[in-house]
Amino acid sequence: MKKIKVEHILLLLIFLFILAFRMYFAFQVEYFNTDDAYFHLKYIEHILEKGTVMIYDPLSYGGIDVIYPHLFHILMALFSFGSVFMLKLIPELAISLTVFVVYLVSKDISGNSFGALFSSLLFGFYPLIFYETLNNLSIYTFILPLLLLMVYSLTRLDDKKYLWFFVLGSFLLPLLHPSSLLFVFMGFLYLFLLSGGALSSTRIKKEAIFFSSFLILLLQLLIYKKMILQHGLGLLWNNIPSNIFNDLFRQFSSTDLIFGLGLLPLVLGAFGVYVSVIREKKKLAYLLASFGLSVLILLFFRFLSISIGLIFLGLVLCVFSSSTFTLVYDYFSNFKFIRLRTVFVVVLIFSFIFLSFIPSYDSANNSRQLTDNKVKQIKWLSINTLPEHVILGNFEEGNLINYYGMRKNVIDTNFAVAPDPVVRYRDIELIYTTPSEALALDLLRKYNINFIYVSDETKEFYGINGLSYTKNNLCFESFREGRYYFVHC
Amino acid sequence: MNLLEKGGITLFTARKYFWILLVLCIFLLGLSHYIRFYSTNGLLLDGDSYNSLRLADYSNLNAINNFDELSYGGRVNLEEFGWYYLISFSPGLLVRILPFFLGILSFVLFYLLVDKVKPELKFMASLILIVSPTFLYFFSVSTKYLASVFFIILGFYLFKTDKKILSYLSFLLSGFFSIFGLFLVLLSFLFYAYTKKSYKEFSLLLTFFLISFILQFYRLLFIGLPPDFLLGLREFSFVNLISFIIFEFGGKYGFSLFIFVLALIGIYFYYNRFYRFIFIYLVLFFLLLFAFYNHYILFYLSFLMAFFAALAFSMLFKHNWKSGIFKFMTLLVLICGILFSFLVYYNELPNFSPDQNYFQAIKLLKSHDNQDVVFSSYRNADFIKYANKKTFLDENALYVSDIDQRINDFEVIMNSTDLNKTLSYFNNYNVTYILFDKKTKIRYFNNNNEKFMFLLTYGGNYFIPLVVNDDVGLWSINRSVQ
Repeated sequence: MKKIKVEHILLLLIFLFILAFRMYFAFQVEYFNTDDAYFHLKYIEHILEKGTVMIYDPLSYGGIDVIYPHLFHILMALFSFGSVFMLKLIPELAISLTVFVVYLVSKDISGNSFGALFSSLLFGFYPLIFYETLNNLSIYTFILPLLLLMVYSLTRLDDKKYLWFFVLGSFLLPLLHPSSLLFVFMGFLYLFLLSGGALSSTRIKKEAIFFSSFLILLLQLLIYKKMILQHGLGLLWNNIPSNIFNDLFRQFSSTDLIFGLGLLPLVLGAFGVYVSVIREKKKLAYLLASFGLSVLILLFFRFLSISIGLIFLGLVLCVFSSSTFTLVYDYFSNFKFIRLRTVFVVVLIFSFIFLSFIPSYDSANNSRQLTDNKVKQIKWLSINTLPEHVILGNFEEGNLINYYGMRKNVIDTNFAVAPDPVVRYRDIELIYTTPSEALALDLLRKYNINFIYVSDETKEFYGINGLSYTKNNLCFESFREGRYYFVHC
Repeated sequence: MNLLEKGGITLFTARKYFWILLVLCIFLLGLSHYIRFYSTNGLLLDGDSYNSLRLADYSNLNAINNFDELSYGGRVNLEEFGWYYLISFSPGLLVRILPFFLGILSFVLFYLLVDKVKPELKFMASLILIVSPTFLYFFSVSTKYLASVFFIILGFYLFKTDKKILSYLSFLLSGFFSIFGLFLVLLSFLFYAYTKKSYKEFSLLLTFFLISFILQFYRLLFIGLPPDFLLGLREFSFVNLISFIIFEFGGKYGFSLFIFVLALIGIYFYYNRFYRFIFIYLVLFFLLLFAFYNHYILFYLSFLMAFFAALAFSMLFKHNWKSGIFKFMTLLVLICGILFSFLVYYNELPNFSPDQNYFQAIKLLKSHDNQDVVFSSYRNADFIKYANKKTFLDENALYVSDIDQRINDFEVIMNSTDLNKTLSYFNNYNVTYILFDKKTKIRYFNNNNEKFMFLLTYGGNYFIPLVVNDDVGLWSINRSVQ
């Protein structure tokens, strides 16, 4: 009987610990953490109820065509059977399982099982991933492991098993999300880096990169045909209104790098890149470095939002941390005082606790939680308004208005397909902030708005106490102490 | 006997493929014209077609190489006259059928030319050409460059078949349709002469170029060169450039993304020795940069792109792939990609400019019996001139002394919320009409009633709406209330 290795048991324990940790936080609340989760939930439930994907959303933006790859929704519908428990569990499971992939890749790069274990642990408690994916129906819980597995497969194409996985992944990735274009960029950057002559790429790897690049491009063109023809390359910025764009896609700074990535992955990962790429010249390391470099370039040119870019970058640096770990570990092994090695491991574990685990715990504790109160407020709309009513909320409440309020919204986060999102965003800001009744009524009529929802978050977002033009005004009827306004005129 | 039989079979097969391609070309080009005609109630495609229709009119032929009184309210117009004289026999009919026939003839010549240069590519290159959106679009538009391309390909074919005198004559003729096209031929002959170390052909062609140039543009001696040389009014950015040259990204004249990528690979294979491909890439880059302001360059390039794309496809097909799966899948994806852009072209054809809503405004404008100035974006200039009205801005800005002032004033008016100031500008330029298409409304007013659109909407009796719908807005200025 094959003996189970210690490191495999440790890896399993890391996985179970991360899964339990995430599930503890995820199942503490009844709802998902973000409005975006309800964007996906809407489509998943449609598949479960009707057996087809939604091609027209009658509630979002008052009714728009749905242009989005639905594979994520189909998979979630298939595996969850509509159970909220499963819908919460699957993304947590998927992102927790990523530690196995991180282990595989890290071990290949560093050649050391303990280094790879450390990378897995570091990835499992990467604060930004907690913030973005905890208790959320996030597409990145599927994208991250798939992307990393594809990179790994690319170095093992002589094995039929990996070759077929790569082919399958090339189909799945673009059907999940447009961030698959990152893989195309990485592939070409990798070939470009190798053209320098430090290493030579195998023929099959080149063939695989060409195949996957063309396929991803074609599938993206097929999915987003209508939008690409309309917006051209501007689509890469998702048609996002300028102020949100400036916030999400702002110029990438060194502060973002330090605070976003965390000190441990940044220092250990950056040194690991140097060790694996420059000193050891490993092919997989070159591939991963190309991946990291692609993310940096796309961040620099503002094609990626800071938070998403840092998630990808964090993944790469966590993997490379194993090289640094191995180098230092081996270095201390050659010392006469072998205990120094143990000291190093202990220091690293303490660093991990203070710099990764505690921030992750903090991040999980402080993550954007959807409160009971908020859901109740939105559910109030479904009882007290007519089905044809259009409800105004801020853009981060749009999907909730659709899902819990079961009413049409004026704006939500799906800007890419929205009609005139820039104008809408500005108009909505005006409705909430203007003192002019005439202007507000003009805009309310423009979007056929029947109800205005003024949440605490909206007040905070726009820096208002309420709608100033509604005081002693017969055109507006207030409900629940200015929480809602019915528009009469 | 066997060899003869074999040759016979090859000949028969080659001929069979040619006829299949010819039928396909007729069908695809015919379909393009048919869809456009029936989906838009007989509207022509693109402003160029309406420009041809206007200038081919007997009364307007004088505007060519002389003075165009409608562009910028009147400016010197130096242009090749061949195309307009050619279609002046029956403008209404020829603007529709001549592009179709020139398309078929150009395809046949391209096939024969590739047969002379690289026979093994003739089928693939011709097939890629006739399914490329650039080819289908341009040969559905009535423009002088169609004849220029036809004579240039004919010239090259005759040159390849050693009928040099006829070849030079053909090149000379092409100069009467586009002097720039002939200039490109001259450059390619310079390149050819440099590699062959013989400048005889180049000198001869240079003579023909000069003859063609002097015959058409001798007036330059009297009027001199334009004071300012403005490339164009289009706003440049690299994102706009890529969106312009790739069809799938919204560039209606652009190349299919997959044909473009394949062509780049083809150039790499073909000019691999001594890194010559870098030079070709650079030339291509500058031509594409220039094409941003002069879109017809893409048309000339579409033939080269088809050739190099076919070369790359054939190389990839013959290449000894390590994995059969990747070979099959990659080639399949490439075929699907090329077919995708081809299908998108037909799908978008009814939506290309002008559409019926937009043309409603042009028809109304044409029905007004005057030659007043229309304030509008340069993009609408061809249609405004077709409606027999003067333009405020036009794509061709040569010999316009106050072009900078006009561009500046255009921006000021578009951003203005001051009624009196705006009206004083309009009085200054004698503007009577205001015309906005959908793109202008989105670009300047976010498709909303802001800035100047606010004045137009709430400007009381100063502006009379004539046609206002989602695609177009036409107003006339009410001088009686000022």
